Amino acid sequence: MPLSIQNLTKTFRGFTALDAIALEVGEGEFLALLGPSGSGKTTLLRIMAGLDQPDAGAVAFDGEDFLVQTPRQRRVGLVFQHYALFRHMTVADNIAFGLKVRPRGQRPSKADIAARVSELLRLVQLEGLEKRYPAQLSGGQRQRVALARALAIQPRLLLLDEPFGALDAKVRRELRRWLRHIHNETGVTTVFVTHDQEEALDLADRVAILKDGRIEQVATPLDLYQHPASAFVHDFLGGAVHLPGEVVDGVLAVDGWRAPAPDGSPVGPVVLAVRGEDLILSDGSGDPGSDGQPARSPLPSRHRDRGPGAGSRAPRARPHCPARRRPDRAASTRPHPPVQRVKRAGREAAP
Amino acid sequence: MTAVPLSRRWRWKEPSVLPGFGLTFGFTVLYLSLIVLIPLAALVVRPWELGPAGVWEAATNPRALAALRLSFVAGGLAALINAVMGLVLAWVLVRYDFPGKRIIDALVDLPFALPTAVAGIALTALYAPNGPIGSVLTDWGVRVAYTPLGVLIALIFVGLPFVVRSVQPVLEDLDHEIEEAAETLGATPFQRARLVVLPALLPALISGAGLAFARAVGEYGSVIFIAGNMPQRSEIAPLLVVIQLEQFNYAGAAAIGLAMLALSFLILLTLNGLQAVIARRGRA
Amino acid sequence: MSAVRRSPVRGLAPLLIGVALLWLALVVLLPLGMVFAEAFRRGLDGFLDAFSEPDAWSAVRLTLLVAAISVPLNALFGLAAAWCITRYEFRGKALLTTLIDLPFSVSPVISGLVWVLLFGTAGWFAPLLDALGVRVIFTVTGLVLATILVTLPFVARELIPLMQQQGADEELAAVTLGAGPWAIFSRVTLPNVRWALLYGVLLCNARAMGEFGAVSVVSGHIRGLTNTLPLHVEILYNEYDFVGAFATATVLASLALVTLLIKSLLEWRFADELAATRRH
Repeated sequence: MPLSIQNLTKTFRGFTALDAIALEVGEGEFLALLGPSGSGKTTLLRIMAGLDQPDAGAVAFDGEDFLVQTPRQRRVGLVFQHYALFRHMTVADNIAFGLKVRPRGQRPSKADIAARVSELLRLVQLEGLEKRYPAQLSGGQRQRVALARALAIQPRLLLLDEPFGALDAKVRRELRRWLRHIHNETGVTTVFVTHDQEEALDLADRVAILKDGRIEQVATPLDLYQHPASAFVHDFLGGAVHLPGEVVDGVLAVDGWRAPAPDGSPVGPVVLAVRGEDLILSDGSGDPGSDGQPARSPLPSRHRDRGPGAGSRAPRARPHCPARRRPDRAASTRPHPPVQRVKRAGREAAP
Repeated sequence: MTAVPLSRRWRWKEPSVLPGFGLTFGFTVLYLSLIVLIPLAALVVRPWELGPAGVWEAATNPRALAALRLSFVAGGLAALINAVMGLVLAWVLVRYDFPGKRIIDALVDLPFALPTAVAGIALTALYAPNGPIGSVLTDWGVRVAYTPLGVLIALIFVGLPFVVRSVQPVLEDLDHEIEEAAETLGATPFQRARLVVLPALLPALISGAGLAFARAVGEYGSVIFIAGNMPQRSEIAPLLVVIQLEQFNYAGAAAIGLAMLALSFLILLTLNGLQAVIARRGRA
Repeated sequence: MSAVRRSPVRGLAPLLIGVALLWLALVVLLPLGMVFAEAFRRGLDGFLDAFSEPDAWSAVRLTLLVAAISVPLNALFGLAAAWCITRYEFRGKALLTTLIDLPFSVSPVISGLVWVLLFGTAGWFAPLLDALGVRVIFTVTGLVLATILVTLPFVARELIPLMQQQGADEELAAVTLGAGPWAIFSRVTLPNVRWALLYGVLLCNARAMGEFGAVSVVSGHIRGLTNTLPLHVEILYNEYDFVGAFATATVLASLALVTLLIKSLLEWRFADELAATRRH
């Protein structure tokens, strides 16, 4: 595992931002940290970059202890949420910065720096704009300069903090595709933070879902969607309806409606979480109205195209980083539609 | 695995990867201590060599009392006049367009930039009985130079920019829609100014007037030439400090200085409180 | 923003503009004009006579010397204070910020007095100074100390709001790109604040060269030795050499006008960067 994080804890003035985080990121992997604001994802990213120090825990990269290294020694490329471009430098100077500030012995020659800059400009498709200042660029262009600047130091690890957060929807979609393309081209291990579930599911090889400073689940997008480890994950990925019900003798009862309870269902009062797309309405003859396929799914097409039959095989998971499932936290295995998940009724859900 | 519970640990400073905290913080604190804290500590401590009764006597003998009264009353009046005229100036500079506006805007800062001694002799020459304005006023029976009125004139000069520069940015940022809303509700221009604009400007107005007042109370250079400096009549408190010092009465000088400082802070504190009350009312 | 609007009351605009211009002319322009008028009361020769005195030139030199020492020190202080206040979170920051502003709310006379209380013949450190054979009061050292105290906040006050507004992201980005402390400061921070720094230095310098009350207390008015230009003006005036006093004053008034001119140019050209510091 190139990047290995263990038992990472961080508090700010009594507020626990990260609570015993453990995470492994594979070589060349593209991992998303997904969670609502305040879930600790940016803090985790800043600790990886060396901008924050944890209170406890370990961060190792290729067997090196990251925490004792300065950001410079780590050679991590970080793209800031608002890009943090040097406002008084041209695009070219911004990109060249990391090379120019190297100690004299390691500094590339002027010609080498210029060559590297133009190579990066080509990669991020900003040829011809090298003399512009950040204020003269559009949001999407700034984002690409920030990425080129981070890539210039040939980072061992690329970190992106809400890379599309400040852009409008159309530019977002374009850049997303393009970022995936860049990743495929450079192959650099990449971690990015987002609060947008669609973005995470669309881009990442694996997604780590954070809530209140803890990792709820790490899995491939498809796995996450089909085998959510907790009600929070289920809810966060796609709006689900929660219905109070009860399981008695293998039969699930919800407001007078009865169905066989899925294997392993808890007994007693439960909460039934249902996604609208999983419901199939029929005329009562027992014959589904359609071929049984959900009408609409928020899971991006990249995954959906593989069909539900792709099932347990994670399409993008690499062999050495299996999705970690935590069935102990989920109350049931995957039932057939319409019952998506049943979990023990919490206090807030009990009728 | 158990995380070490460090959450309650008291931190004086949040850790940061940016270099230079020790150096810059150390230099800042050292510099401030040497230039501001230790010297002002001397001002606070030294009067008490006279004992409490001695300090009281030094600050409230008739001459000191008259000087303090002149500085504070003239300073207050000047601040009040500057509040009114500063509001007019800020209004004109923000709301109207006229040729030479940029120059006028720059000239407002002249009292900041002009050395006080220069202002002092210029005002004296202007208002002396044989000066261009003084001679006219003398004909009308009004004496300005070498009277408390002269002190007031000098303090108006030095305080002029404060209110303008406090009110101007607030007026620029003021939302036109609020005024237009009032207009659509049938408010006359004067009602709009009184009920909508003025309350929004009031905190800035008070803060600007407070700054002008603080400056006026301590002002020395521009006043001493025009004041005539007659004890108990046109002698300002800062001058009395200098006079005490020239007589090597360090503790007496420090006592008057301390009284000036204490009174200023008391008044500024009151103004700050007033501002806070108005601001809170504005938010509610 | 449509700041300029038609006045809703007929004739109010001309009236208010008239009042404002008259007031400014009366309070500001007349005294300024008076300086030049009085300086040339006896023609150009009378004016030039004021500068034939060696004391006048030593006053000019001393003024430049005092400013040349105090302004860079306060600029350095302003940079250091702005860096530690805007780039770190620590307790007591508000107190530090208040202390930086304190000299502005203290009378110049008190800013001179405090040095006499410390270093004067009956000052706290008088025995120490006697033992060392050093003098502070009535020397250039005293003038410098008083000037530094009076002008201490100028640069810091320009830089703190600007650097607060700019945030630390660019410096943090430089850190992740491998920049060392000097590279961060010289390549990122300094270029970002250069105009605000210049602005602060300009105001600081104007005040340092023009300061009267504080230096008057510590100077002792020794002609040719501890007389700065403003003190020289006072001496000439008190000796009834009015033309000489006003002629010397024109130098200071011109300094003020040049300062205002550069200040306005900076405000006009770098409005965005100076916007954070518009309020004085």
